[in-house]
Parts: sequence; C-alpha cells; structure tokens
Amino acid sequence: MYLDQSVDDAEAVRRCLNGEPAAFDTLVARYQQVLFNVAFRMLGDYEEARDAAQNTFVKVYEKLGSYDPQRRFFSWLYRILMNECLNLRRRPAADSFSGRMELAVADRTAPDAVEAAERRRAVKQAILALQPDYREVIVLRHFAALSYEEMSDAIGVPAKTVKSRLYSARQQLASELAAWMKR
Amino acid sequence: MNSSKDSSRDDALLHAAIDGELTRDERVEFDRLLATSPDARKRFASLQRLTLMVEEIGPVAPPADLVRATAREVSMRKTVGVPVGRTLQGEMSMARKGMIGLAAAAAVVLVTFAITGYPPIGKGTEGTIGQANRYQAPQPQMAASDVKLGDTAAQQFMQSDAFDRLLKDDAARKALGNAAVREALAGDGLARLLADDAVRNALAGPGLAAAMKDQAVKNALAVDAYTRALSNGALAAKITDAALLVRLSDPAIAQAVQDAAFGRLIADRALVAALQDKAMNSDAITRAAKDPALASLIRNQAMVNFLNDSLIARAIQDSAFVSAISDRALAGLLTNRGLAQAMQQEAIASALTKSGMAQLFGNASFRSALGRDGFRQAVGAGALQQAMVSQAFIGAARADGFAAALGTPRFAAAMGN
Repeated sequence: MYLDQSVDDAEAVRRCLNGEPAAFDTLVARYQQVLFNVAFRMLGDYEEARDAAQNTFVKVYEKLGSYDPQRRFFSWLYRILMNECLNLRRRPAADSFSGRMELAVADRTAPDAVEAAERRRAVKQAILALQPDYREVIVLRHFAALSYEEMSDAIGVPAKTVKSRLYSARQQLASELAAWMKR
Repeated sequence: MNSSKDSSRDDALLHAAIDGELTRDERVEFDRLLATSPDARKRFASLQRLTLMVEEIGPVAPPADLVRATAREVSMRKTVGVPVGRTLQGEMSMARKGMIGLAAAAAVVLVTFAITGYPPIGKGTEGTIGQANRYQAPQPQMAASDVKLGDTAAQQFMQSDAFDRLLKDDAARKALGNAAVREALAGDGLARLLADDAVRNALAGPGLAAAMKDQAVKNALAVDAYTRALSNGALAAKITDAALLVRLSDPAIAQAVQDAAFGRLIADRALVAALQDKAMNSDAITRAAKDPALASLIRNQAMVNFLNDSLIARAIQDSAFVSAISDRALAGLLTNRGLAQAMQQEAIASALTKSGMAQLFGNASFRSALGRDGFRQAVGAGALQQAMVSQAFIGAARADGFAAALGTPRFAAAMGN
C-alpha cells in the first residue's frame, strides 16, 4: 500500500516527456497499488475500481505535458482518479461479489472465521455508507497512509478540515459499528 | 469536569496519536492525558479498536494485469496533450512490445512447443532471416491448430526481440528442452519473465527442473502473484532453490508477496536467507502469513522499516521469535501504532534482538499479556519501552505472575506516570 520512496516522480515524468516511455511504467508500477485501493474503497466494486485506475493512468499519460513538477504527483493523480470514480459511480455496490464470496467461503470454515468475515463486511459497508468527503479521508488515511498535510494537498482543503472530517467520519463509523466494537 | 474546549483538545490529541501525527510537545501532553484521565484512556482504546477494525479489511491486490493492460492502452495512444518534440509513442521499443504481448503469446507458443516439440535452431533463429520471414517460414513442428489463444498475440511475440533473444539463448534452449519446464511455462505469468536474464539463467538450472516436477510448485507457478514475485531480482536469483519454491507455493505466501512492501522485504538478502532457514520452513511462518493482523502489519511502513533493520532480520532467524510472530495476540499488538513507532527506536529494536527477549516472546503468558489493552496502552505511553530494554525486565517478565500483571489497568496507569 505504501509508496516506493526510491522513485523520483518528477524525474520519471521528465524522462517520459523526453521520449523514454518505459519511465511511465515506473510510475504505473509505483502507484497502481495505492490508486487501485483508493478506487476500490471509494467505489466498493472491483471491476469499477480497475476501470477507474486504468482510465486514470491513461489520462495521466495523455496529460503528462501539463503536469506541474512543483506539485505532488500523487495529488495530481488523485484528482484525476476522483473524477474517474465520479464518472463510474453507478451503484453503491455495498453487497459486492467479493463480499459475498468472502462470506460464502467463511461459511464453510471455522465460526471465528465467519465472524471475522462478517465484521470485515460490516466495516466495508460502513465505509461505503459514509458521505464521500468523509469516506475519502478514511480511505486516504487508512488505505493510502497519507499524512494530514498530504491529504490536504490531495483533496485541496486545509489540514484543519481534513482533521475535522476524519473526526466526524470516525464518529459515524464508531456509531455504525458499535455492536462490533463491543465484542 | 472538562470544558467543551478541553474535550475538543483531548479528542484532537487522541486522533493525532492514532494517526501518528503528534508533535513532541503533543506527545507529552497526550501521555499526561492518558495517565490522568480514565475517560481519555477509554476513548483512546475505542479509537484503537476502530482503527484496527478498519485496517483489518486491508489493502486489496490490484488486478494482476493492470500494469500490462495500462501499458497496452497507453501504447495505443498518440501524443495527445504532449508538447511537440516530446514524443512518447514513437519511441516504443521492441522490448516494450515484447512485454505487452509476452504474457498471452508466450503461453501460446510454449504450450505449442510442449505439444509439438521445440523448433529447430535454424538460420531464422540466428538472425540471418528477418523476423517477419521467420514467422512466415514453414515450421513443421507447429501446426496452426495448436495455437489456442490468438495468432495476433503469437505473431507479436514471435517477431519481438525478446523471442529472438530467447531462441538464441543457450540457457533458455536447454531449459525449454525439459518437458517439466515447458509444462510449467505454459502458465501465463511466468512466460513474460523469460526476457529477464536472471530468470533465463535460472531456468537452465537442474534445481528448477527438479522442483517443477513437484505438484505444489506447479500450482504456485499457476498463480500470477507468484510469478510477479519472481520478477524481484533477489528472489529470481533464488528460483533454483527447490525448497524455497515449495515454501513460496503456499497460497498465503503467494498472496503476501503481491504487496509492494512485502516485496521490498523479501528482496532483503537477510530475509531471503531467513526464508531458507529451517526455522522459517516450519508451519509457524505459514500460520503467521495467514493471520489478517499480521498481513496488515507487514503493510505498515513503520513495521517495514523495523523489519528491514538488519538486527531484526537476524532475530527473524530465531525460532522462538518465529514462533512468537505466529501468535495472534502478538500480531494484534504489532498493529498497535504506539508499539510500531516504538519499534523504530534503536534501543527497542536492539532489545528485541537480544536472545533473552526473543525467548520472552516465546513465553505464552507474556504473549497473552501483550494482547491486553492495558499493556498496549503502557507501551504506547513510552515508559515501558525504556523498561523493556533492561535485562531485569526481561528476566522478570518470564515469570507467569509478572506477565499476567502486565495486562492490568493498574500496570498501564503506573507505566503512564
């Protein structure tokens, strides 16, 4: 989930723009995990997340010439991804295929595995039920490991707003998951 | 009673602590808050529980073909949005083309070879005849009906430099002459790695051929995640080690190696050595890899840093430590941000590598205590971190009574003071 810090994004972009397309593979390899996971947690659907991630990379490639190296590359990437997620969003998909498969597999296993699968499903549904601006801070914090400052830059709001949204999102999650938290 | 302003400040501290965003001054304030306010301790424990539940659902492995599919899409794009003179598309190399078509096409060709026999090394494969002519030339060993997945992909592969290099490569030819190797290579994922020197050289090794006769290894090679892991240089160099292949054939391990952080870990020479250690070949590491808490843990950057430490890499070779990390209580503890941060401290990391501490981790009572909230809070508060370094603590903690006491709220409060 975490990013490979050895990759210099600006340098990879520069090489790409100088006619070295293999440098773009470096960027895709570096960001595919985090981009896909953010899309998956925002959309709740594996196939839609795949489309969102792939479309984002293609658009990034097409717009590479307009990238401002002074900006964080991820922040730029993230804005494009969010637009793709909005375009793809067709249904809540809380009862996703993967979730149902997880439970189906768990049904045939030990009772505690069933409970763990149900708990994970409840958490996924609770995250998907959050309003989008709350969901995105939870996703960026817990599944992309972004700091307050990085989130502020990616979302385009002050760090204070990020903290406030995180607080509210967690309050809502705790309320939704109260029964599970007591176990 | 706290004012609303105080309560809001307390909440900000608790959330910042959970997010690892405390400044030095805030850390002092936070420690003081936990030590003096039972309500804050309760709310912090609740936040920790929520965080654990959220992060337990963990990252999802992206589709195995995302990078390849993206490369394919990008390769079809013209220079839209790219300033004149900054051509991206025009520089598409043959190697890149080979990568795009290799996954599907190699499977086609290699399955065909497996069925019909390896083609003779003639002029075409030695480069005196053009690549296109080579493809069009009669090749009695390969009937059109043998190509199952699409001739376009096969053509692209066979006209690529990668294929040309493959055919000229003694090591590859030798490997492909082995039926077991060809059978294994029929899988989609491994085929595209043929362009890699290390993999090709490894393919010629007798160890791999022997390993590929093992059903577990064959199964592993069918998992794309596994073959992608093999693209990791350090691991690819170990491909000839049959024991390592069998160990990696476990689906849980195959899943784990998909993670970039784990990939970096596994690239560590010491860890690769550890993987080959007898202790790591026990069921303990397999159990540990299947634990969701540990799976989450290995994706934690602080823990990755910690595990990358050479001292810790040595500790991992200790059987008591390996046994300990398979324990769910400990895995749960390690996801605690307070401890994860603590483990980045040199003193704590050094302490954990001491044999006494490793043994301590092997003590069931101690591990049980580690799983209790009181102990976790104490660790997060900092005072216990210092105590853990001392031999006196290590010695005392081996006693069951002491270990049990570690989990009590009173102990947590004492450590916070």
